[in-house]
Amino acid sequence: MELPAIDICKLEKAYDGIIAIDELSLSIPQGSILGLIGPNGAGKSTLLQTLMGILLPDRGDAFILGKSILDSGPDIRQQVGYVPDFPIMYPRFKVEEMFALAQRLYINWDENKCRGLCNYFKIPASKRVRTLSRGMKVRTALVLALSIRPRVLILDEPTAGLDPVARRAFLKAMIDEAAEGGTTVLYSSHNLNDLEQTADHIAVINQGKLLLTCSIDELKNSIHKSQVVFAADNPAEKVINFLPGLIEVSKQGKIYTFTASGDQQAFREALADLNPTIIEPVNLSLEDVFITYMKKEGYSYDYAI
Amino acid sequence: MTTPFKNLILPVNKGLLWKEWQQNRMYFLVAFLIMSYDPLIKPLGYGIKDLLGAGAGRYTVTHALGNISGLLSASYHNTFEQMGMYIVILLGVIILVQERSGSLNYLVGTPVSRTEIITAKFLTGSAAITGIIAINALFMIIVGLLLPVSYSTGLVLKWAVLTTAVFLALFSLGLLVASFTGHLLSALCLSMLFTGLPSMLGAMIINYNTIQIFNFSPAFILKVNMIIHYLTIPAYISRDSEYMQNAAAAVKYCPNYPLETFLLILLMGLFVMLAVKWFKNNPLENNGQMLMSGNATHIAQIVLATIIAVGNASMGAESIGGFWGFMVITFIVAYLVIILLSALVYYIKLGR
Repeated sequence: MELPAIDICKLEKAYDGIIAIDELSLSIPQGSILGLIGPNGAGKSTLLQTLMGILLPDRGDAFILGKSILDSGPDIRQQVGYVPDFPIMYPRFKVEEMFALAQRLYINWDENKCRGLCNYFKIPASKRVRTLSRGMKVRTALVLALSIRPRVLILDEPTAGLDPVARRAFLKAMIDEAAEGGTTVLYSSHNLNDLEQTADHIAVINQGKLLLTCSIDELKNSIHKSQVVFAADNPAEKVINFLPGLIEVSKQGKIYTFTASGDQQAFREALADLNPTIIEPVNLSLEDVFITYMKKEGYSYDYAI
Repeated sequence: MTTPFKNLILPVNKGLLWKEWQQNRMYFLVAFLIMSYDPLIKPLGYGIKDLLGAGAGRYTVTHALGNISGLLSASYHNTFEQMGMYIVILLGVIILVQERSGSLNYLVGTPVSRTEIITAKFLTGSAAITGIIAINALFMIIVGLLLPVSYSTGLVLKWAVLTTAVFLALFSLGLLVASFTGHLLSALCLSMLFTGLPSMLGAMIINYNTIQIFNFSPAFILKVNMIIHYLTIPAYISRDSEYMQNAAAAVKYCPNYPLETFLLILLMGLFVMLAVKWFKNNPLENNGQMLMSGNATHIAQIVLATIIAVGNASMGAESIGGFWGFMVITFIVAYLVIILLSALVYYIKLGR
């Protein structure tokens, strides 16, 4: 059996007693693109920084390409490209000096690939890093990460500061790398549209715990929404609350909107027992599903001023 | 086969050495210019002035060469040694702490170990400091061969070896403190405190005797003074002009240069080993704290305020009552100042 590209085993990390990662275990198969999603402060960046050896875990271990991040030494990172959420790099260095440094540190550095990616992303090699915009720094960090010919790519909200054109170019470079090089990508993002287009699996974390890991289709099928109109008498609230898997119900005029999790067929049958005139399924985006899922987990903002 | 000395050999990464040079060469140049003002730049400038016929009075090469003689005979007042001590500590601190503003996250994520990172920093800084001293020493020797001076080549070499050992020990101390602190200001304060602490303790003991809290014998005070001198790294440079005080007489201290150089190198090695150990275990969290863990911050604040208070009271008080009064007031003031500084450090860190 092929080793997972990343295997996280009961990893724990706390900051001054506040738990950031809580006994998190997760396995990512080689060649897959896994999107890591969760609310702000869920522990996504902490998890990725711990995998990169930037932060030290309190307990547990993780294995990248079969090697422990605690015991294997720095060589493990020869095959791991990393793009942080705020790439600072060396502000006083020129971009070309950053490349020269990476060339000295990585044995698989591919100069031709670096040049090609610089042209693709229009990176000014002679400029100092501190003079680059955030978007340009992110692109430079991606060039650095891809030019080492990585087998694993770890990206921490990389598209957050990019304009739509640059974001599309960034995602294309990432997908090409995964498709052509068989690179495994672990990719945290709040932009769920991007993830929907690129990732084949999703992991949801909240308060340092892994809530769910599945394919995007499985996640989308786990939550469903229906719009319903009843004939004459609206069903009593008590009856509605007994619908299987009901998460939320709202009413606008005569139209009820039901959001539920679990078996969609069973839910429809239960709805049908309430004698509706119309039952219309509503298409949900990954973002809708995520928001509903997090609401189910107790994370939501209720606007009330 | 493993050897018991395996862990003592520091791994060298050429890529990191290149990076350190690229990153810090401006700091090294500034250090060179400041430190070399008295022994190199001044004689050179005055020499040019003399050649142009514009040198007069204090502004002649003869006067400037007299300063070099003073420097070599361990008189304390010159830019090389006075400024140099602070500069090398600052270099040790800045070379590591500057990375805490984000670049360390990049570096730690690359295929280099933390031991390699700190080793590269130590080697580059040490090479720069040794280079600065070597250039100055070479200049002194060449001048000594060309012009009539009151020092010998042997004296220059002795000075160069001892000064290099002192400066490398101080540089390593700065690096050590920076390995467990997260901010430039806290690292600098602690380095200065550790450098001056033995002298402070010495002054305390002497004053305890003077105000008769204790009644030590003159021989004991002399011994304490000797120990304190061995623990005060900057004092190694000025051995020739030092006199040990005791109640009966002032005793001239006779330095043992080979032993002292050996001790300093040993101390440097200890500091570097500890720096490697602590840097490896530093969680590198950007939480804006003075030290690497939350509890340590509060403990350090109280300990620091207590040391300052006891030190200040011991040196300044003229009676036992005065000692306690002085200590309580100084503790309150010192503690408030430290809290304020910590808050400032936290604010700056968060602001960034």
